[in-house]
Amino acid sequence: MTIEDFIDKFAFAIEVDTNTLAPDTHFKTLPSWDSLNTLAVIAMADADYGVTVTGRDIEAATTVADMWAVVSSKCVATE
Amino acid sequence: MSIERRDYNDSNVFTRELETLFAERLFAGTQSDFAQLDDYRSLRIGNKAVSLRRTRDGVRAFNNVCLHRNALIDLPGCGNRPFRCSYHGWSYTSDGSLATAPLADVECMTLRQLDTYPVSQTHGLYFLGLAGTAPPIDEVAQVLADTGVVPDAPFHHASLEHACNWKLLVENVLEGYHLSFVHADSFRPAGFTSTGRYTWHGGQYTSWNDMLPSAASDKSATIQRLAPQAGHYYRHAYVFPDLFLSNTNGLVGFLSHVVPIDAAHTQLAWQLFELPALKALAPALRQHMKDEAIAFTQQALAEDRVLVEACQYGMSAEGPDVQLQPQEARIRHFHALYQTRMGHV
Repeated sequence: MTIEDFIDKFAFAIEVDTNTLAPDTHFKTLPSWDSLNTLAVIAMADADYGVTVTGRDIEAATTVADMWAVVSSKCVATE
Repeated sequence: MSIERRDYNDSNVFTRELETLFAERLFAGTQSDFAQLDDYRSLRIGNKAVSLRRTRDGVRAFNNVCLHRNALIDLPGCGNRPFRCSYHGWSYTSDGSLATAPLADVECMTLRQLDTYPVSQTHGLYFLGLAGTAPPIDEVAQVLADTGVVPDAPFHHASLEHACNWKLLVENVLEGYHLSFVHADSFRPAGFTSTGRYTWHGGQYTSWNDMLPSAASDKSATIQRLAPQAGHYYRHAYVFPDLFLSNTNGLVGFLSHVVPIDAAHTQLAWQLFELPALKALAPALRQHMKDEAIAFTQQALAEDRVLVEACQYGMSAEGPDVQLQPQEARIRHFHALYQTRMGHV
């Protein structure tokens, strides 16, 4: 469970090339970002990590690393 | 020929509408309003106070004025209680006859039976026939099938007052022409614009449309990755004169109905419910989509309210007859239904 794996899954969820994302990418400024991507990230967190991410979590996050921090902290909490 | 401008402001016309259009078939509630014995929905339409109740013999509609001193038996709104007047305890049976009248003298009673009204039900939707005949509902099932709306218990409900005639609210939802101009923060970002692909069908008292985004805005594939049974579309149905149903992307259902207050004021009561494709998703996704649907609907209704109230102002000022456009064919259909019933043709 690394941020690199998370970036792969995040990129797949929002349908962009993995190489376009880095931990410091401001994902909501991506040209393709829209409200459906919020749903895709919620679904990815549920399916791939078994954790519940909310729309508010995504709204509060700025970078991919922020989202990883949310997901990884919830993973730890559920272990 | 369109409905005349003065018909949007005239209190005599409004009264006749209640006595004809709304008496023929009035939306009266959903299955979730009458799930338990003694669930009731008390409503006022014009000069009629009616309570629909789940009785031991099914959902029945009664004149809601006590035979004793004319208090309302069920107060306005919804709830669950025995069918008993709160004033002196007179109670009524499932056929509307007087059951008990504590301490009363039978020699001082001439009336022992509440008036009743026919109720029709299909797919969990209840309709009232205030004219005394069972309201026709044979087209409703087809409309539900064509739009994919499966009425269910609401996850959110609210109402919104409008300073406009009820017909302006109806007309507003029967066309997609205004979407790009009015709904910059709701329909347009969701892919539904004035140039969307739009098809419609009209029946004897219903109409419905299917709206698809332009090919460039179509997100069907993305939506189906998240919810395989869903899609990217907006389907809307109208049951004359007061009920609207819609299906957004096969995920969220919307039910609303107009409650005419007077010639220039209307309440819109609305609710949202999950469609089967949404129920199949993970809880976090379901919750997010429900939250989004509530925010979307509140935004869209607020955007619409400004415009329909502006139309009411315009209709009450000097002005020309309306000039309906080809994209507004469902409004023409509505006008035809209206004029036929009001005897204007």
